[in-house]
Amino acid sequence: MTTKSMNGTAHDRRAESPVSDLDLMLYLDGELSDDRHEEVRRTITRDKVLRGKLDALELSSTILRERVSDAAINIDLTDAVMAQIASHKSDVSLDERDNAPVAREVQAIVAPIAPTVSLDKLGSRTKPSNDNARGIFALAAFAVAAAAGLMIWGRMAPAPSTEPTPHVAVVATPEVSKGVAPNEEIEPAKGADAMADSTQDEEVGVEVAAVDFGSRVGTIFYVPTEAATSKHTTTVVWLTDPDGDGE
Amino acid sequence: MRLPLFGIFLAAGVSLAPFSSVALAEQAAAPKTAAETEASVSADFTVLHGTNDGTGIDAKIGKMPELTKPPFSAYNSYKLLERATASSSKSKPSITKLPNGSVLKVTLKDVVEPKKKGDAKRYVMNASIQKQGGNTFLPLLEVNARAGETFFVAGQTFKGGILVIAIKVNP
Repeated sequence: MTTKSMNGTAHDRRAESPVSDLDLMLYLDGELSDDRHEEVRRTITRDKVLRGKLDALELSSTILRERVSDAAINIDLTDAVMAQIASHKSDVSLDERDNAPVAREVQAIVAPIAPTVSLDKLGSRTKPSNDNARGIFALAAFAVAAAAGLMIWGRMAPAPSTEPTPHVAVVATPEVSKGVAPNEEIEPAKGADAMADSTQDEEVGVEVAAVDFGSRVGTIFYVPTEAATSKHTTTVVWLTDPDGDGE
Repeated sequence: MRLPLFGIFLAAGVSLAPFSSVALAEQAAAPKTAAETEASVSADFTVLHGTNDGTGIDAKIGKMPELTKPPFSAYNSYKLLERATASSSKSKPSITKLPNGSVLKVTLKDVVEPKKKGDAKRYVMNASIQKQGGNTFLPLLEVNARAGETFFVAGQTFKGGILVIAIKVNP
C-alpha cells in the first residue's frame, strides 16, 4: 500500500510495519496472508535477531510436538476412569430400579451434620436414581478451587516487561517446571539467596542462577537423565548462532 | 459421598499449593557460604561435534544418555573432539580453547555449604565464551552445581554442525 504524505513523498506503509513475535508464530504456522508472509520472510532474511527467534520457535515447537504426541499415546483417559470406577465397586450398592450406583457412605457422613434429613428417602424416592448432582458438585468445587489457585498464582507472578530487550531467555521445561518467562533476563543471584530448597535440589541438577545471552537467542533445557522414574535432570544452555564463524 | 469429598480435598490442595511453595521459598533463604575454606574446583570439559551425518554417537564419548533426547536429538551424530580437565578459582579462571577458536572461561565464584548435614556442597561457577575476533558468544552463565553434576553449553556452529560443551564438576 503506497501513500503520499503532506509534502508529496511517497512511502510504502506496509514495508515499515515491524515484525512482532505474533507475526513470527503465524509465519511459522503458515497462517499469514500471502503478502504479509512474503513481507515477514524478507524482514527475517535481513534481521539476524529475528532469524534467531524463528530458529528458537521452530526448536521449541518441535520439542512440544514430540512431547504432546508421546503423552497422547501414553494416556488413555477412558481406561483410567473405568479402572477407578471398578476399584470403588465394593463401596456402592445398586439401586433396584436401574442399577445406578448409590454410595452407602453418604448416610454415615451426612447424618451427623443434618440428622433430620432422611437420605434413604432422598436417594431412593424423591430424586431420580440417575441424579448427577454429586458429580456436578465435585466438578464445581474443583473449578472454583482451580480458579482461586490460578488467581493467587497470577498475583504472585511478576508482571511481564513491556520494554523490548535484545536479551532473551526462553526456558523449556520438559520435565521440571522452573518458571522463567520469555523475554525475561534472569537476574544475577544475590549470593546464596538463589539457592533452591534441598528438596528441589534432589530433583533439579545444575541450577542456572543467572544468564546473559547477549544479542543471541538462548534456551535453557532441563533434560531428564537416564531413568524415567528419576526426576533428576541435566541442564542444557542452548544458543543460536546465526552468524557462526567456526566453519 | 466419595466423589464430593474427593472434590473438596482436591480443591483444598489446589488452593493451598501456592502458599506451600511460598513457604518453601522462604525456607530456602540464607544458606551459609564457605568460599574461604575451598578456593578452587576442578572440572572436566568435554567438547563434542554434533552433526547429521548419520555416523551415530562416538563410543569414545562414553555414557551420555542426554544426547539421544531433545534438544540434542536434533542432531543424529556426535563425535568427541576434545576432553580436558582444569581447575578454576576465584582469582584464576580456567581457560579452554575450543576447536573453532573460541575461548571458554570458567571461574569459581563461590562455594555454598549445604543446609543439611550429609548434603553436597554447591559450587557457584561463572562461564563465558569469547569468539575468535572479539565477539562474545555467551557473555555470562552462572550456575550452581554439585560435585559430579554436568551441564551443557551448546549451539556454536562448527563444520556443518554445532559444538556441544559438557562441563562436569569434579568432587
